Amino acid sequence: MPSLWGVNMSEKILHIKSLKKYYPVLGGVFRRKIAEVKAVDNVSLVIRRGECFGVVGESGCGKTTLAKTTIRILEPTEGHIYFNVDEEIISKIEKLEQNLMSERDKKNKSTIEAELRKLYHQYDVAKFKGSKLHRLRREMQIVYQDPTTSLNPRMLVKDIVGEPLLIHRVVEKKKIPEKVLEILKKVGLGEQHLYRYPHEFSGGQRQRIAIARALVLQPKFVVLDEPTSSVDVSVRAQLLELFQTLQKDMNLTYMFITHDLNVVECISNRVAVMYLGKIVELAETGKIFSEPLHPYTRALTESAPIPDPTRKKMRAPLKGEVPSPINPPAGCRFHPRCPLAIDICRSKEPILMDVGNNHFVACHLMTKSTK
Amino acid sequence: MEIENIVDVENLVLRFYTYEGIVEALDGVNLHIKPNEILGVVGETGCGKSVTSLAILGIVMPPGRIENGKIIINVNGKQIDILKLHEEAIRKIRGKDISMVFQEPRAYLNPVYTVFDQISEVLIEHRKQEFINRALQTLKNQPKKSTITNFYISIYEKWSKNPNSLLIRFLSKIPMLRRFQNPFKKELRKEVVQLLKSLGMADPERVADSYPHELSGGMAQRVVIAMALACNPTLLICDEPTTNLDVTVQAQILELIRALRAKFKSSILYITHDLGVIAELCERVAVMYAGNVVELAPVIELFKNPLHPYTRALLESIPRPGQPFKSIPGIVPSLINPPKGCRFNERCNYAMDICYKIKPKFIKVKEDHFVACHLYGE
Amino acid sequence: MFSLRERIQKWKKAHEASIKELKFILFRIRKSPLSLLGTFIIAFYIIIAILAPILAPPQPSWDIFKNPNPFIIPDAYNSVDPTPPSPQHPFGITVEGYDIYYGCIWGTITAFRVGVMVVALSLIIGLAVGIIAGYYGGLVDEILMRFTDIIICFPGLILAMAFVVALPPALTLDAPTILIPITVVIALITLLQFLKRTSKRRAIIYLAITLVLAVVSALILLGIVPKINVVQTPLTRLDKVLIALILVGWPGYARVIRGEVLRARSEDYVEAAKAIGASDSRIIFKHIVPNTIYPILILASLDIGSIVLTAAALSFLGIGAEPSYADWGQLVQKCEPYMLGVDIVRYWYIWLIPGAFIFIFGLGWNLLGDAIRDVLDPTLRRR
Repeated sequence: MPSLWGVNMSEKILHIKSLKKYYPVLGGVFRRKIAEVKAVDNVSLVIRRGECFGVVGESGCGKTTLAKTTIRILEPTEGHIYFNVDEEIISKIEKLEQNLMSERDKKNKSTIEAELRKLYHQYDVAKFKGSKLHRLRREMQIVYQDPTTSLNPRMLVKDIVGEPLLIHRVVEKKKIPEKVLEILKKVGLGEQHLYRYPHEFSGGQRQRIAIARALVLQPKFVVLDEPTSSVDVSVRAQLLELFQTLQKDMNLTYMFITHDLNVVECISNRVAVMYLGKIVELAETGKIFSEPLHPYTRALTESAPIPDPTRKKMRAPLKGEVPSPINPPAGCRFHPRCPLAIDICRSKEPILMDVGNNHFVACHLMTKSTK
Repeated sequence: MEIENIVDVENLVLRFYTYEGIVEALDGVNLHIKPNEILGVVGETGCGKSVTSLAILGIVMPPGRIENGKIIINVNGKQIDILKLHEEAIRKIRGKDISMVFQEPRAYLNPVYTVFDQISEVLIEHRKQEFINRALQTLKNQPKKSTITNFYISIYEKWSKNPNSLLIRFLSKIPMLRRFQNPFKKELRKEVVQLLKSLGMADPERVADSYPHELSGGMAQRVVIAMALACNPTLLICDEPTTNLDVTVQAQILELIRALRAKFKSSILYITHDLGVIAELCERVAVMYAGNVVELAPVIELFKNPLHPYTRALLESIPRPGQPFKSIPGIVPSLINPPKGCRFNERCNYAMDICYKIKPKFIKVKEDHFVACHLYGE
Repeated sequence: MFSLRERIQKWKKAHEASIKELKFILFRIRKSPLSLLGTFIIAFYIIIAILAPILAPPQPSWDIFKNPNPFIIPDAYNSVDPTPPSPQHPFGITVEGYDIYYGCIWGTITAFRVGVMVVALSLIIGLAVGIIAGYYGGLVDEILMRFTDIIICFPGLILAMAFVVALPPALTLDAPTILIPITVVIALITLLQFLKRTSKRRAIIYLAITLVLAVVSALILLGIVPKINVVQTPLTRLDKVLIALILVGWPGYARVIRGEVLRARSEDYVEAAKAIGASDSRIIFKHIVPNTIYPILILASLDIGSIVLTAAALSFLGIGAEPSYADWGQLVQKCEPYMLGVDIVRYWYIWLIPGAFIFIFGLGWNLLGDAIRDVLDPTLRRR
């Protein structure tokens, strides 16, 4: 398991509280909202500084939407995101929210609301606008899955990587080429690559250009959206090694999104498993793979093919397919496919709870047994 | 008695003539597939695995040209060299004796036709006679025969004697008289629903009437597999069919392929870059690099005892938790001016002088274990 | 600091990638004979246009001091009947004594002027409307596109004719004429700011500017503040034709670029540019336009040929250039009295020669447009 290079693990860099991202489905003659796609449905999590936080799930589970909403490429429908905010302020906000819930007097309510609004305006990333949002871009960046489409095919490499510097004006124009070269060297490319177009490179090299572009502003938090999914196996190891080196050198925190369990097992410290917009399990990587508690996590770990022919699995694969997020099943969203579903799973939605040692599960079976 | 191989690829050389130069895509590929086995082909992007399968099917498009080599298929007891056949003859084989499943299922299904239309297209192309006979039999077996039924029987008898008769074709274009095809279509539908059911679909009738965009990725891939297996092929080529699918759906499809192989008794050529899938599914494995097959061995033997340095490096580069990442240094060489000698020489830890001069031959080192490397030469 | 040779080497290295692209483009052009033909035709016309003063010099005996404009074909031959080609007048003389050779040579310049100017200006307007509609979407898109649709609904040629007749003889740009469009544009931008929900301050500033301008325009319209004539230029008939064709031609481009922008807007690299904090104008000019402009350029090059054809048609109908102007369509118009009847064969040189010029010009641009499309089409390239 990758170590954390002496960084204070308890320092929290990102708090996501009750994040929701719903897409309206318009229909009918007047294009009114007839349904909602609940891409991310009430997700809360905390990411610690310097860690690599893995998010796994299959297509349609909302992991990419979660990542993009966190760094404000998409607008959250509801919820709060606190980035690089002191613990005290967050606990203050929490206390105020609790007071608001319990307060009866209208006048006191409005004062609490006013104070909350002020705090939200100052610290809540979900509410940032204008120049505050612009400055946030320097701290939070993203590397996309497919480097072929995420790089402008008509721009030279030096322009692609230099653009963030130009936009944010962190250095003077003359110094930009030298900074670009610096970051290119860090990702393993060189001066001869400056004046070329992206299509002249291989997949792995293009991904490195995308990484260079994300890191040139020296952000603190980087979302990696399936960065190794569209490259070959041998290049994958190179990129993973690069991610680790860069994390150490530049003090980065990663949110690593993938559907490849093998990769997430090797590079992340903690893993969250998502299904249909909700987190179903969240724990340290070793725990998730050695004792997966949620039936879905178990199905995932068992379905992944192991590159060892002597360990052929004779298990029955999970039945059915991921349902559409427009009409998720009632109760626990996984119950139609769950081999262990009981009555309560069909009616009541399980809450993500700590079942010991910071291992969170959202499953009636698990939480029942601990009760 | 030696079992005849279903497919024997010998020394296949394929070149693409492009503006930037001549791309030596395949440089003497050697493969053989035994009857009723699953052969996996693993390799990175650009190693030529997809192009090999296209060559076996005979659909290499210009500017690609097959320059040399033989592809011998053993079909119905006869041995045919695909490269010497002309288009008409190959068309009879495609879909019937060799069929293919591609990577992105929804891209390979025609979006304006239903699933039933597309599967029956394959059936009509190759098994028309059979269905005409079946329809005829059903009509004859009807206890009460009206005049129309008798009329149909006479048409079908004529049709069965000459499936391509002009009269029938003419009749099938006239709107009102087209109805004589109904018994035929009913037989087709029965077969299609049966096929879809055997692929594990819960509601085959509904799926048969839906359009490709209404299906999910896993279901669409199943439909494509149904199309491929419709005519009981001897060889089924799968080009990364589960790469774009979720892990759980991939597990279902792999299970399905295994079950179908047992039922239909075809051989499967499974192309992928995922070593996990290879370990789970395949019985023998061919490893390709830069247009050559560098190693060919049974799967357990390959994982336990990899001989070629590339295979070794590939197996070591699989990320393992707790261990540092090992990657293969360098990048795949450009195939426009490929390196002389063994194409892996730049990145190989064991490269000797001869590796830069002479291309290693594909030789048998152990029982059923072939390598192309100078380390195991004379 | 650097010697000339070093400088050239540095420039070469910096533009290595573009040079490779250019070489590839030239290779593709060389390969196709039709595109070569198109290129040669256009090159031929360009040479004629440049060498016009040498090929058909305005003679001093032609009262040049009364008509200093070389585009006016001098009426110097005073013969009523058309004369067939002769060594003195290589293409013949028309009815009122206009030299066809002179008209054709100087008509080349007119053709280029008409074609290039109309296409360029309608491109600018069409691109602006289309990109804004495509990029911002929503209400802005609806408004702009419905307006575009209205113009497309009218038959092009007839609308152009209506414009030509309706335009004033002189273009006067006085205060209201400038102010009102500016007010409308700034009002639209204000609407945009409100819709984009950027900082409130900006929106309020724009609103203030709009209000000020509206008030001033109202005052001027009501006559309280006197009109100030800023610019007054006379419009020749040809200028009116140009303006009419521009007004009719821009919606086509707007539609096409809007479609392309809609496609490009959903590409990953545009989202990536937003993620690094690029402003809207930066995304539009640096990311979207370079990737969407190519189909438009192809359309534009094809249009140059057809615009000249349309202008010639308008001239033939009598609403185009003035009767003595050097314009191909105008020359063909001289043949109009003889169109029905045997004379059309007798006076073949009046319609055939300028007609051939028009035809080959249009053909050349069509071939060139095809060539550009073949070369720039990514699916046909060997990449």
